[in-house]
Amino acid sequence: MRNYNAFLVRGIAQVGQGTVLIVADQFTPLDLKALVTKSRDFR
Amino acid sequence: MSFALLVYASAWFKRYYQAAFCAVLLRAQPMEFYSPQSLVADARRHGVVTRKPHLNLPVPHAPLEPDPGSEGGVTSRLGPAGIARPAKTSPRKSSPNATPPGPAPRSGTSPSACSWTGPWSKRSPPPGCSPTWARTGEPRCGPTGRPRRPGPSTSRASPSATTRPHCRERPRSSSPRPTCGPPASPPTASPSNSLRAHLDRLGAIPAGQLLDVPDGTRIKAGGAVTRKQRPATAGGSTFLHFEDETGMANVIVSVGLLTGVDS
Repeated sequence: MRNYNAFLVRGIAQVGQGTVLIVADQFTPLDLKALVTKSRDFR
Repeated sequence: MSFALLVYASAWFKRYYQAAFCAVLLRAQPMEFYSPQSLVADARRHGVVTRKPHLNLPVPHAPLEPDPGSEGGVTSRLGPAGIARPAKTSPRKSSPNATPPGPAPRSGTSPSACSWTGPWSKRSPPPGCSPTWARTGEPRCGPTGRPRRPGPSTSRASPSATTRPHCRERPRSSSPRPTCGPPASPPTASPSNSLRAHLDRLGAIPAGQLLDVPDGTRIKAGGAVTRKQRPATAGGSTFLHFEDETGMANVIVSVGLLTGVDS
């Protein structure tokens, strides 16, 4: 958990008075670096 | 009572003077809670046009500029103060065409997302600057008429770097003016823009649509973590915030889940 910088969370949405809170029951880490398209290197 | 007044005044400014509110918070960086990226993304979601930094700005912090297309008629422009200086030991420094480091990348952000072309590629020159600067890239403007000091991208050993020869042959006609440098994802984008197709496949709901979900529904959502509360509360729960291109959301993590994920 401490090492995640992006994740997919599953949980119960508590919606009320214009606010949302997600009470998590599962986390899946997302690897942003692997998913984001690589930049083009002109060298 | 005084705290309530602060909150009320802040909320009032955010409601009626959104561009100014954003600029003031950018000027107050570094803040404990909201990163410049979060602040700018939030302002953009509320219709405020936020422009990239420009090296010819007379001030280092974020100023306001008139723009009828922006919420409230003004935009916030990011100030050059937020741009990281190149490291002294950088081997790129000797090359005139080197791409200087942009703003320090956030966790999970590819450096290309922080496009450096901004300071050089403004559509119109800032007030008080010669239009020549915008067309040719030659730094001729400045309050005293002297050439401005080269920005962080140029090296003292190579004066020709200020004119960026690789940009001279670009056509001038088009508007907006073509930018130099490698193509990069626009700074208006969030890292999660690139993730959206993947998040959709996983069944994630964009953070901006969570308010439309019926209370008590089991949902999935995802994005970049912007902060984690440490240490946990007395009860052991931890709070997380994450952010995607549509908004932010708060997550409560129970003790059991936290220990399960960590192990």
